Amino acid sequence: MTDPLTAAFADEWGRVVAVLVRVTGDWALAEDAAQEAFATAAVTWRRDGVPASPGAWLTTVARNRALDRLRRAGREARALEALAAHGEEEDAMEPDAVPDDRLRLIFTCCHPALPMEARVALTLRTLCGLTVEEIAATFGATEAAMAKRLVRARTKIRTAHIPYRVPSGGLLEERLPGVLAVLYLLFTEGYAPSGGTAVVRPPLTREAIRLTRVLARLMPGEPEVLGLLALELLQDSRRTARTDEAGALVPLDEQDRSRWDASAIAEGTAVLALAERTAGPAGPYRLQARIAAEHARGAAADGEVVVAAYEDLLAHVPSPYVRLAHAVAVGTARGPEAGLALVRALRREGVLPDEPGPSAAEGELLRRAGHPVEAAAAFREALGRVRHEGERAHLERRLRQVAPPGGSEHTGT
Amino acid sequence: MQFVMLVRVDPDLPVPEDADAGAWADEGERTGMRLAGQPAEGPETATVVRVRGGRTLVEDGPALRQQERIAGFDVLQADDADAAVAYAAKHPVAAFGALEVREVWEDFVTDEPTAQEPAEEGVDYLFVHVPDQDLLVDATREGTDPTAWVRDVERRRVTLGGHRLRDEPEASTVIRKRDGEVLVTRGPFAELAEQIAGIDLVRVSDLDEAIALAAAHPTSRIGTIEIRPLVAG
Repeated sequence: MTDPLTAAFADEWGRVVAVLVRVTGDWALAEDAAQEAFATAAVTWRRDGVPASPGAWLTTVARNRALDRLRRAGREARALEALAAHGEEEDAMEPDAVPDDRLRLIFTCCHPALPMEARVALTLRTLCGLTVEEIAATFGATEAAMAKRLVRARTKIRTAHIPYRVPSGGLLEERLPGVLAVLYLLFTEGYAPSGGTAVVRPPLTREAIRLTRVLARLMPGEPEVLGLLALELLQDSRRTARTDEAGALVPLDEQDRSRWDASAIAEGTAVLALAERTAGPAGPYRLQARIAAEHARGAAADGEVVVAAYEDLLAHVPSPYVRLAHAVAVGTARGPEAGLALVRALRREGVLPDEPGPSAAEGELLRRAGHPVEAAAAFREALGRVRHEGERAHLERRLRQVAPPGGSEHTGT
Repeated sequence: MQFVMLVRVDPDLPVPEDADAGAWADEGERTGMRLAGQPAEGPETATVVRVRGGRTLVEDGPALRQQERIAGFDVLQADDADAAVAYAAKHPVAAFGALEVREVWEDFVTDEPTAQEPAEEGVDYLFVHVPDQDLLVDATREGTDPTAWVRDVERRRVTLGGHRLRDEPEASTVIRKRDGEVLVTRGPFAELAEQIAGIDLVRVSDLDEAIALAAAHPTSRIGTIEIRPLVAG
C-alpha cells in the first residue's frame, strides 16, 4: 500500500513550489515553505487522514509558512501583500487552478542562461522535491557543492532578471528543445549514469518520465514532448533486461524479451502514434522514439525503418554519435560490411570521440562479419576507454567470444 | 577624446576593504574627465548570445576566457590618452586588478546611439561586443553595420548609450599598480580573438528582452555578445 503522503508528495511538490515562486518571487523561500508544509502534513495527515484536496491543503499551509518567515524577517514588502492577497482567491488553492504555474517553473528552471548543471539541479529540487543531499549523490558531488550550485542558480535568476514565465510564440518554439534536453538528461542519467557503479537508477528515470508526462499534459499535442515521452517509455521498457544478474550490460539483440515491460511498450507506441499525427518533418525526439519503437518489435524490427530514422536524425543532430549509431543500424539492416565501411570512413575523418562506443561498435560489426582477430583488437581498445563497470563486463564477454583465453584464436569464418 | 575604461577584476581574489571608487568618480565628475559609468554584477550573472545559421544560441556566460573579468565600465573624456591613463591609474582597482583604457572610435559617431529618454523602470544591462575574427573576415559591410539596430533602440527608448572602440593596438592601454608602482602597457588587454569591439547599455524589462535585443545586433552573427546586468541603483 503506497503511503498517501508519499503519493501526494510526488504529485504536489512541484505544484506547491510553482505557485509560491509566482506569488513570492523568492525561490529559496518557496522551497523552504513547501518543505515545512510537507513536514506538517507528515504529522497531521497520519493523525487525521489525508484531506479531500491535498494540493489545496499543502498550498495553504505553505503560503502561511512563507508569510510567517517574511514577517519574522521583517520583510513587510510587496511579497507579503501578494501572499495575503493570494489567500483571498480560494480557487487559486486548487491544484492546476492556474495550470501555467508548473509550466512557468519548468521553463524557468531550464532557461538557457543557466549553466546546464544548474538547470538539472534546480529542476530536481523544485519540480521533483529531491533533497540537496539526494541530488548531490546522484551526480557524485558533495552536498556543499550542490547547495552552492543551487544558490548560484537562484542568484542568477534574481540578479540577471530571468523572467518567471512561459515563453510565448516563437520564443516557446526556441526554448522547448532546451527543456526537453534537461528532461532527457535526467532520464539518461537515471538510465545509464555517467559515473559510479550503478547501471540504472530507477528513481531518476521515474522522475524524468513523470515530469515529461506533466509537460505533455500542460502542452497537449506538442509532438516533440510526445516524442520524448514515447522515447523514455520505450527505453525504460527495457530497463530490467538491459543488465544481467552480474550487472553487465546486455546488448539489444541478446536481451531476454520476456523481461521487456509490455505495458510501457504499449504506452510508448501509443504516445508515438499521437506524435506522428502531427504534420511536418519529425523532430529529433520523435525520430529517436521511432527507432526505439522499431527495436521494441524485437525480431520483427524493420532495419530499414531504423536506418531511415537515423538519416533524418542526422539532419537535426549531425554529431559523430549519431553517425556511429547510423553506421551500426546500416550494419544491422544491410550486413556488417556495409556498416564497417561507414565506421571506417568516420575513423578516417578523425571525428570519433575518445570513448568505448566507437571501438565497441566496430568490434561488434567485425564479429558479425566473421573477423574475430580484428574484432578482438577493437574490443580491447574499447576496454581501454571504459567509464563504468557495466560497460566493462559486457565488452570482456564479447572479447572472450572472439578471442577465447587459452585457446588458439579463430581465423577465418 | 573619449575613452571607455573597462574595470577588470579576478573574481577569485578577495576585494580589499578600502577599494571604493566613489572618491575617484567624484574627482572625475569635478574635472569633467568622467562622463558616465556603472559597476556590473559578477561574471556568474553573465549570459552570452550568438546567432548561427539563423538560430539564437544562449548560454551561461561570461564570453571571455581571461581570469580578470569585467567588473564595470566608465566613459572618460580627456585631451589625450596620457591624461586618460593618468586618471585611470588613480582608480582603486589598479592595485589588485587592471584597467583597460580603450579609445572610442569617434568616426563611428553616426552609428553610436544617443541616449534618448529611456523608460524610468527597467533593468539595466551592459552588452559587450566580441567579434569572432574568423567570422569577421568573411563578413560584408552590411553584415556588420549596426545602424538599423541603433535606430531601433533609439526609437524604442531602450538605449542608454553605446560606444564603438578602436581596435588598433596603440588605441589600447592596460594599467596596473603593483607595490605602489604604476605599470602601463600600451597594447591590447588580450589576444585579438578576445578583443572587445564595443559596448552598449540598454534598459529593458527582463533578460529575455535583453537576449532578443542582442540577437538582433549584427555582432551576434559574427561573434558573441555578453549580456551583464549592471548593479542597480
